[in-house]
Amino acid sequence: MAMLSHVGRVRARNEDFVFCDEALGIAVLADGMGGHAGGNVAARLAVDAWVGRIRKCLVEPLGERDLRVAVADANRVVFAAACADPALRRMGTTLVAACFRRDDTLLTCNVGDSRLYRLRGDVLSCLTRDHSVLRAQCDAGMIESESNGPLALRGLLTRAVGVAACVVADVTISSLQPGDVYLLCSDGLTEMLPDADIAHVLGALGGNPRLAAEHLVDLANDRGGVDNVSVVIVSSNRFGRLGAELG
Amino acid sequence: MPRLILSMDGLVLKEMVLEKERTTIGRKPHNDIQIDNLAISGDHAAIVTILNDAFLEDMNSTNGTYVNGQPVKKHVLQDNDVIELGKYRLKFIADSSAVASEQDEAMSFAQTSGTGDDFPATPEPQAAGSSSVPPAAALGMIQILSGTHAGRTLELSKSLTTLGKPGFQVAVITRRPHGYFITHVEGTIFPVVNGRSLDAQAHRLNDHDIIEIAGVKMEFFSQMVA
Repeated sequence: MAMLSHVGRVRARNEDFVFCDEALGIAVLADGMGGHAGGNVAARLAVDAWVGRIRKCLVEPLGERDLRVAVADANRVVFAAACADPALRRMGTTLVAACFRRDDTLLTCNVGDSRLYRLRGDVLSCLTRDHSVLRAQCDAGMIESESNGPLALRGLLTRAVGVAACVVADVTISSLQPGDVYLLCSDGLTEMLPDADIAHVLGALGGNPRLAAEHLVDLANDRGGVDNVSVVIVSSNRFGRLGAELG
Repeated sequence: MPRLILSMDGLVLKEMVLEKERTTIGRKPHNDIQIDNLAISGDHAAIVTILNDAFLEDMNSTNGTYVNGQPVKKHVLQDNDVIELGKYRLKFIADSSAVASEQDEAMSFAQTSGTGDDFPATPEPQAAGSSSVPPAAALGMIQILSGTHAGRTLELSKSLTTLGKPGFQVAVITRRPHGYFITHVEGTIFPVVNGRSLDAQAHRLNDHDIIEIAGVKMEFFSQMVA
């Protein structure tokens, strides 16, 4: 498990916040809202509240309900803080989290456009669904793909943590397999890198999550780095895939 | 610009251009589109317009907002959508006038430039979007000098190439806009470049550097590509 959060090359402040704990088997990432005051505050509050609730639930194997409750907690904390302090008004954050259970089950939850990817074999799949305007337009058949939608709509969310009194998270359950590599990332990564590049890095450097995380962040910055870039990589792979076997 | 055509019982009452970023609809006089009818709530609905896209939101109205017969709370408006409030109908026309074509041009420009992002801060124009690597001036190559694969050359055309023996020693060569770098990935032995063992940091490769990974010697060199 490795995590990395970088301010990028354009933004002055890092409004992303990441947390992971290998012993507890949890990883969580939040991308505070750029245009609003206090995006970094929102991201931190949301992650802390989410982790706090999950820690209390860990006496038993985590269930879907625990994740929903944890997101509701995070939402309440951020919304209350936003209402209490005029300087923080209208702040909000995305949240994506993964809980790796000992029975080889993965629970995920997400709100907003931060994503969770899985590399299994050669196949990279996105296990979460963005709550963004472009994604909604894409689903409605109005645009061919999210990448050719109007620029003005980029990053506009249809759901976020802390902007309203309640929020509904998407929760998924899937099974873990040996060799899987998981990636939690903010849109600073996915806006800069096509899926093929992400799959290539995860495949080649899956044995060394720390290096894979650094490399993804470097690549995103090489291509512009217009937003904060954050990644958490969880790998069950001891070895990466080799470009060339020697000897 | 997008337009709305207000009608009731098939009679067109009014046509409006969505000029403002937020257009409100309701019974109270402060609304941009005022409909003085008791079936319409004081603040019934709002349309947020960004460029050529419009989003309809029901403002918790008593009798609800319908689009094409379906009740909606929030809805991305599409061309020819019919919004119904009580007995009133608002037809949404996503316009194809000069504004739209200007925007289409902007979009097609953005597409030819790559991912659809247009970054002035990017050091060099890049053909991203495909899985191709950022253009480095030169293409790096590795020629293997010893071992069973001696003589073989390897193009370093991808953003990273891993080399080694799994479980023993693996290194990665990464391609970045300012050059090629070698980094240790796994194993207790670190790669050797020109006779010096590397530390955990990435090391920049120069032409004709001799690298040793997993007991195999190889030479790095680069070629200018057209």
